[in-house]
Amino acid sequence: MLSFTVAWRNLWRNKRRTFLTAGAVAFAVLLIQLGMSFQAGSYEPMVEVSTRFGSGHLQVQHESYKDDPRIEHVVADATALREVLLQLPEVLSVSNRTEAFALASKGEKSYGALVVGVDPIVDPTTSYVSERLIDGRYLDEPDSAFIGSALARNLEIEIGDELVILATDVSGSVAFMAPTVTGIFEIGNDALDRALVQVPRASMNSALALGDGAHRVVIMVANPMKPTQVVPSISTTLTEATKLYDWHQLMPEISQNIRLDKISNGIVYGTLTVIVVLSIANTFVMTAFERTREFGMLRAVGMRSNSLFGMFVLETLIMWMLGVFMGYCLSTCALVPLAIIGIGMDSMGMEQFAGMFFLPDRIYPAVDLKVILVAPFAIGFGMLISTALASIRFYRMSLVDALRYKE
Amino acid sequence: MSRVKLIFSMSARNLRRQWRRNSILLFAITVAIGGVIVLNSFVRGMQVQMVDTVVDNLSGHIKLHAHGYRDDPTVERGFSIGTDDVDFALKDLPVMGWATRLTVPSVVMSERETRGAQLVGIDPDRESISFISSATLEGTQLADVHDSQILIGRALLDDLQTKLGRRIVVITQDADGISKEIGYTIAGVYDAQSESAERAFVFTGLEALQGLLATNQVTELSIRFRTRYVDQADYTIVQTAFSEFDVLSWQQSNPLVAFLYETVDVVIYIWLGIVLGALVFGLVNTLITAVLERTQEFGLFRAVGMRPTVIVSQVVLESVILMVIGIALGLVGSLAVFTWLSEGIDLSAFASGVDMMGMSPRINPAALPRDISIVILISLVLSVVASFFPAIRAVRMNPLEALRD
Amino acid sequence: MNETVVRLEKVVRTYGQGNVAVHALQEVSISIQSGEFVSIVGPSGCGKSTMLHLIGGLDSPTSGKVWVEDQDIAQLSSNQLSDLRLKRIGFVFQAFNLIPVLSALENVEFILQLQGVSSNERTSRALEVLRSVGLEDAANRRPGELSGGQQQRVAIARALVGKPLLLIADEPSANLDSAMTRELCELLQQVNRDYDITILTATHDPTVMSYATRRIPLEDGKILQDASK
Repeated sequence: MLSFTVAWRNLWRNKRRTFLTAGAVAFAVLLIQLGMSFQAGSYEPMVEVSTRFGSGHLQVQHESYKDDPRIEHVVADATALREVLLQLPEVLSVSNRTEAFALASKGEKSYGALVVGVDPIVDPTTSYVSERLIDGRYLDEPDSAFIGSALARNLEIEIGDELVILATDVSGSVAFMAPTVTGIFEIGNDALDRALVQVPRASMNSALALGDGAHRVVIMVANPMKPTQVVPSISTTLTEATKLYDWHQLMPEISQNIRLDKISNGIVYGTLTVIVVLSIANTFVMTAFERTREFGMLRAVGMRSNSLFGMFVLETLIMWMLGVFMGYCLSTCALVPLAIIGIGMDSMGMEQFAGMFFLPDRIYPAVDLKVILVAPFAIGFGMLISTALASIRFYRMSLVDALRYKE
Repeated sequence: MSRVKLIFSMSARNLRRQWRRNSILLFAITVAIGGVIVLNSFVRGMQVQMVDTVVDNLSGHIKLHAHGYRDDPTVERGFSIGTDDVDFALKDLPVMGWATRLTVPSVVMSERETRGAQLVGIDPDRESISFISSATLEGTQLADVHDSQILIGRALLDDLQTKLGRRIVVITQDADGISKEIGYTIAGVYDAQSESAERAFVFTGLEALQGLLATNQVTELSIRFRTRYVDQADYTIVQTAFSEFDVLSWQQSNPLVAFLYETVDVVIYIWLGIVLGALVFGLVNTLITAVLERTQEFGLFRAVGMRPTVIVSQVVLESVILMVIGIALGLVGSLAVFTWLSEGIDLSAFASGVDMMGMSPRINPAALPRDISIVILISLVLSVVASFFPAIRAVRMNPLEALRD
Repeated sequence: MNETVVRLEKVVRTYGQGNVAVHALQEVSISIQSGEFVSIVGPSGCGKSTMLHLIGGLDSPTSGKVWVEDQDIAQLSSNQLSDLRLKRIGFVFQAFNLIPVLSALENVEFILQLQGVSSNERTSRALEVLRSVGLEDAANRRPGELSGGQQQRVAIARALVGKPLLLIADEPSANLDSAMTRELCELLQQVNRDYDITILTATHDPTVMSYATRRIPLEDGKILQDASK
């Protein structure tokens, strides 16, 4: 096609301008793509780490427990529910947890603690807490306790010591447990290290007279970023007076921080795109003016306005493709090594907060279709609008004036 | 003088001659400058707010502990200090006030629930330096250091499923390391900016608490300055005066906030670089074209004896005028945005997330003169640099060649 | 041989309004028959170009009517006008006005492409026309590498390749020296005879006038007397 030849050669006639325009596109594509791929790459590990120290991907609870966390608000027959849930193809693992705020003491020292009853065999498939063992061993006998490092320090308790736990049972009377500390963990999150105590759920349930009840039936699924996908099939298995929550509802701070991050980055990308598109629009307007006479001549020898516009759009598309290609090359050069080595939290001075914020040690860029397409298409759209605005001239110009136009 | 005027008027006319492309460029500059100022002001606003919140939340600007308290925050790690000694040490510093407190970890139990919190003995007369004196309160404020009632945060009250006027039991250790159960009546419920603060602290009278815990010591001394930021020199003075203590700046007592605080500075400059970088493409492209298409005109000027420096200054001036107008419009634009958002940005939809970062759910912009000056300065330098090289290229051309072109 | 190709009836073209109005053409009526070689002559500013622009559908009259081949061109849409110029009228401009990024051959082919001619036929027809204007050797050169005379011959080739009824040339010799002008005129004459294409030029160059079969003198937008043979 000669129109393509004309468009192509016109671009090479003004190399500097073409490259500056393509360069602006490449600049924006590169920055937005780097930003988005690290965003995308950081959310999933962040969700994974925080859910595995906290709520899990989804939870079944007694329908009132979330708003009114009373000890008696349990999911009854949790073991049976677990078996049913495990039959679902989307479900990877399920762990029942019982919990109570209690007074943990050793000798004269007492601290408030969150005591969580877990199944020692099953819980590690849903939680990372067991992996953060720094001393002793994980729960392995009926009357064992796995406690946070700060709590151990505060209580001056050591492996093998007896931990006295006072809590309130279902009937409102004081329940007493005295497990032996078998292990100490350190997560890096002050609140958990200072207050979390894990004990076997069986012994806790009998001490608190909870039967086979669980406050939280923690469910892990294959795609944690889209927990709602599995809600319909899990909902069908739910028993009476229970309710299903996903991590967005259980850990709103994580969900909100991700949304806040997406919004603020969106504003940054949007502003960047607008500035780049305006810069490019200016180039198009200049081009359209400079070539008035050429356009007039093309119209005079019988080219229709629409074909002329098409030719101008073609030039835009070629410049766009060139810029996107350059941007992709640059971002690939940057992303491939980063995808292999990742960015360590330590290089950003973040390692001391990794535990606190449940951040992974390293984050790796993640490239998905959205990351690849958003920037190029937003800019391409802006460029087409600019082209259209610059081309209003083709439709309005007097051919006689155009042919006489002095550059 | 007349020559300057001539150059100026020629530049202005040339700008008007290409009004169409110049207005698009102006629009781009306005968006860039306005965008940078608005975004950076909000980021600054967040930063300032983080500091205020932290300083307000009992940290003060500087906090003193006995050695070892940070690792083992118990009554045993307390200290005694005389009011006169403190006043004497701080007499030459711009201090708003100071307060001593007795802070101990404790377990708070209602008839229904149990939670952990810090039990803080305060002198209500001295607490004008922290949020508790100005917080919205349901019930009554603590009367004095002897008041043995308790103030608790709204969120903790809800967690405990109890009410104002009810009794709660607080378990903590006294100076001998022995657990003590203290019965309290809830005298007041306070609302703080963040729920985490409401859950963290319960307040009672300092001397009343000291009596219960069999001590006459305190665990911390918090100092607040009149200014938002503390000079390093002033910090050093305090450090020297209280050399037998751990002297912690707010940054040291709140490493996360200090980190976020420093990150903001970096973010502001990265963002500035990105936006002005994007602007360069448009600027350079337009200016080079503008200069090249006037090669003939410049040749004519040269032929009639105009000095190259005059031509160069004319081109540079055009670019600078454009930038100055753009900056002015950008400033007006950002002012409009600030007026529109005069209530601040409401982030209450993200309350828990924002709380986690130590910020309050309403962010007000803080347009610091220094930030704005840097934006203006860099963009002006940019406009000079981007126009200088094309202009030099234009005047290097032989006048005859240029005329023939 | 005697079909009317172009007819103007009381055509008036006024630019501007009121005191500053310029009356470029004042009630001009002529008709041009098939096969004529017409030269509109007169000093610059007499309205020659305006007349050519009106006939070529680049401009429209303030009043009066312009017919090209029995078609009142005021009735045509913008696209129909484009098609008229593409298929029935060939334009040759004073400043050559070739597409600078295309070679001579491609410039000629471009018109055929617009007409929708298949690619094989395009190349052979374009080469044939270039040969007829004596430029087959320069087919692959771009306008910048051609002399003024050569460029104008490419322009004529471009105007001819679409097999138009009418070839309009506005001051075709303005940028040429006298030898080139004579060559150009001979080419135009040959085109007029061999291809039976009506030629309409505007000029104040006596050489061009001398080749015309009919001269229409124009002064201040009015035809003085029709000096047709």
